[in-house]
Amino acid sequence: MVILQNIVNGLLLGGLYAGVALGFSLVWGVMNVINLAHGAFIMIGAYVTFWIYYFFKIDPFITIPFSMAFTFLLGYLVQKYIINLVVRAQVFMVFILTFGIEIFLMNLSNLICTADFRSVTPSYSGAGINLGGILVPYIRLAICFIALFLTYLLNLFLNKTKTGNAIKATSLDKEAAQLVGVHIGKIYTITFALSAAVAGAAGSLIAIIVAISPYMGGVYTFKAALIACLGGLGSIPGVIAGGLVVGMAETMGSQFISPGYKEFIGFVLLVFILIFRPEGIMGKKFFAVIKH
Amino acid sequence: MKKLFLILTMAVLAFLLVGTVFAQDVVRLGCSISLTGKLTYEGKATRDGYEFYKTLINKKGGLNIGGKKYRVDIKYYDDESNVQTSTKLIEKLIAEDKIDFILGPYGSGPSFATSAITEKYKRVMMLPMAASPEVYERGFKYMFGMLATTDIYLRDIFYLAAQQTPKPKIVAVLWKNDLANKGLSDPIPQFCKDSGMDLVYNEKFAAGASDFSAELTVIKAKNPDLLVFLSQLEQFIMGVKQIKDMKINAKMIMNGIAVPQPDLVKSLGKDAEYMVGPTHWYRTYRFRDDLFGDSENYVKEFKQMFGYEPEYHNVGASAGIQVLGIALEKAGVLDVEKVQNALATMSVNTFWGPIQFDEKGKIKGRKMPVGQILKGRFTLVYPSESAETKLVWPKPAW
Amino acid sequence: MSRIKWKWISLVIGCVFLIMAPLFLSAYWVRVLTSVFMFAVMAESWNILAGFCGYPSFGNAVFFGLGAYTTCILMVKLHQPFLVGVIAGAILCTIYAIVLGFPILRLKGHYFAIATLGLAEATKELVTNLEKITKGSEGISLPIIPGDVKVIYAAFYFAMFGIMIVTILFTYWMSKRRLGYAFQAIRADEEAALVTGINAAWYKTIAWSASAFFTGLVGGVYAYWTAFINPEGVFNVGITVKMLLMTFLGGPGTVFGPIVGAFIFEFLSELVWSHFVNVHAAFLGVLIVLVVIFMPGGVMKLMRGKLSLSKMLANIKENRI
Repeated sequence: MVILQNIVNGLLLGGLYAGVALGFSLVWGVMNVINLAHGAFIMIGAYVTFWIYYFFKIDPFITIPFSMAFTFLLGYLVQKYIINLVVRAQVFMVFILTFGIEIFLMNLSNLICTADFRSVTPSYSGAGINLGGILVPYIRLAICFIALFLTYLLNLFLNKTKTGNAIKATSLDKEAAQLVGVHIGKIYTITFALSAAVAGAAGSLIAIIVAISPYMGGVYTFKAALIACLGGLGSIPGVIAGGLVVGMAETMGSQFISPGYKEFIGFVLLVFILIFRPEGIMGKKFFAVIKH
Repeated sequence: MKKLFLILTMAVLAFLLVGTVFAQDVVRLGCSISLTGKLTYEGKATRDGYEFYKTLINKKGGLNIGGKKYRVDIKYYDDESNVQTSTKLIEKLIAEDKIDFILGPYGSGPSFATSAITEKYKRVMMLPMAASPEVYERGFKYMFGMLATTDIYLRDIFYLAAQQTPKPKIVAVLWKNDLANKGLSDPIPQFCKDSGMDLVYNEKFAAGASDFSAELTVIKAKNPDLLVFLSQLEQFIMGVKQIKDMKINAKMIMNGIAVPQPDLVKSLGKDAEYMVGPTHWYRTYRFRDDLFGDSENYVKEFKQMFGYEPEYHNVGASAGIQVLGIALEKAGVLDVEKVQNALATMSVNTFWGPIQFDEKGKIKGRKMPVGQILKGRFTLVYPSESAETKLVWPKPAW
Repeated sequence: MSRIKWKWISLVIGCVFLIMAPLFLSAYWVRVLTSVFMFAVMAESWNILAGFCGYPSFGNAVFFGLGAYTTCILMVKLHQPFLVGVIAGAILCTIYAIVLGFPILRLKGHYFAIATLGLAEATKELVTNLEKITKGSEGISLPIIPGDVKVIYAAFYFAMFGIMIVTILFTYWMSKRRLGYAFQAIRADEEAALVTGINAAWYKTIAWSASAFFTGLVGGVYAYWTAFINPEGVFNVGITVKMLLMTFLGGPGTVFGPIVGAFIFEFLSELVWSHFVNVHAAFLGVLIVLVVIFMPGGVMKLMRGKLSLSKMLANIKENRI
């Protein structure tokens, strides 16, 4: 019984994690940029949802398009006017740049919103389906679905639209893409903005289940890195696989080994996968060799 | 041009003259506190407590030290919620800014580390926000604290629970792996034994964890009467949400730190109802002094000045700096040894209660009253002399 | 010719100044400089693997933590003297790097980075959970050294200074030898290096072990210096980030870059702290962004040419999309 419940817990958690890691994996796969500011965009999305809920009492799920729009715009500006200035330099310069952006956004948020802990607790919190003793909370289920739906949408976008194909082409071979007329600068900007939008959506979802604060983002950037690598860079479906694996590993690890070792298991898993299958679960072998 | 110059010089001289005539002596206190980083909320709350005292005492003309009036001034540095940084900043306050009287940071970890520095330099350190017994184990001479230590935080709650009917039998504990919460969880096996209860689950989770569904699932299967979730506010908010998700209908849900904090109810709304926790201070305390009046008055004036209702982080800080001020006046001079002596031998009553320190710097006789969130407010339920109402037991089902 | 001469003269003057410093600086500044030396060592040793070899480790803080914990455990539980603890810590770190380097150094670029990050965090969790040995989240406190504060501080000052000099000398020596050239070959093109007969695995392991050794050394000294350590404090990813920032600020792949970077970074932080109490953290973020955009080669690169606005703008032209 406990096992079954924990399997459900693991799957639900996995869906959420996939949503968190989605944007991060996209940016890394396409632009070879490790976006340390990812957590900051999640945090901003969470705050947008909170403030809308606080002032207008609108259901948090409905606020998602608004937070996505806001973070999309923010990501667009950041990429176009800051990151694009440095993106051809050494990979680690960009890394440090995103780090600087993260520090700035976190502390700006601290100054504006203050560090009081907040959360969105709608009236239906705690309600859920009861499948013969196994509880599936509505909120968690919705979050899982929305995260997976966003992943599906993103995948559709990448495969079926012209811009999406251009993004995929850029991630495969930048120079070749340029040869066929893809404007790399524009693609990078769109990709980053999309990533930020998805992060914002993840933030909105998280706002309903955690305590929001300006410094909440760092943990999620971390997890996103874990999941993106595990699932395979450059693979959107891989993000789902990675998320589910981490979600299940944490839940099962807690039950069968010990709650204290939960995070440890996650990292050991990561290192193992990187050593034995560096392209991740669903990534293509091509991406394992990253030139720097 | 020359005329302008002359006028300006006169103005500056006049200003300086006026300045010196009305210049007051200042006693400078120093503080390294978290204004950014994970502990910002608590750091800011502590600072507001210090500032509240400073404003009130300066309105009265300042401290009366050896016959002269001294204005109180506090120099703050931001330690970014980083223990290494806070030790460096304390050093700066002592060695560079030449400040002899230090106000402590929030939290046992930083308090532990920074008091080692002040002891090394033989400077007075007032720690209003350190509750870990280890902080006092070192027997430091120059360090004084204002809180009861974590080993007794939960004792009275277990005692209270054991008196209820139906009597609780099964206890489950999930605690955050950090210094403070470990200190809270360590004595629980003994409390259970003393009250005749069974401790069926006692696990720790990593400090950065945000998902407890797996642990709570296991706990639920054990059908606990008492569910003890030990963490600071951030994780308790998440914990309660997940406890509700899992529909764990324990008769009492307990936390050691976060229950008195207003943000709990603000974040959780109705879901915070019936949570039980200890506090260091409550507004129905009858203790009085000349500066703050009684606790009810403190609450009123604090709210007026800062726009929010204070809780024990603010109040403890104010109480601490007030005690330091009293010691400075008692000593009669700005001399560290005399002030240290004044603190060590102190026996006064303030709105915080009777102030006396033992030889290790710990305040004597602090109790931990117990409160429960009822109708969206932290309400005192124990001890009966100060209680506003009785404990609601068992907690109604989710 | 005279340019190089000036470089050496200024170095000597700098050294003399630093050696004399504890005599006339306040205890606070002695502490600040000691901290600078400590980070300089870490940045310099990070640079050996990352700047020279091209393998950026995001987990080097693990060696700092292991050095600190080994020293504390040996001193507190086994009552060993301080020196034994520190050396043991450094050796443990070296072994850790060799053993784990075996699987991890096969990864490249970002994957290597993330793997080392995972390693650091996993080690932190392990240390936190092995309470019987490490006292877990409570942390370990070392007894306070009795005696005159100034003398004690000077002792740690010189200890860190000494380690810093040794690290610089090692890096300099290495850069002029086959070792250094092998590293750089690996960074430039590892496959090509393999073709020319360079045993890349062997050299990478040496680089990471050296990195681990020096970082472990200062970790041990740090533990005794601050007299209290806990897992979150010494296995902190922020430490690795600082190493990284300092190296890049100063100039990766150079002998003195990380040292210069350490000095500049710490002094900038000091300035910003004291004067912008409320906004300093946000300010730091802005600073980092500006440095990366205008000075991506680090200060050392900037010093090789002339300092000018057009040069800085040229950097953008070079790196923008």
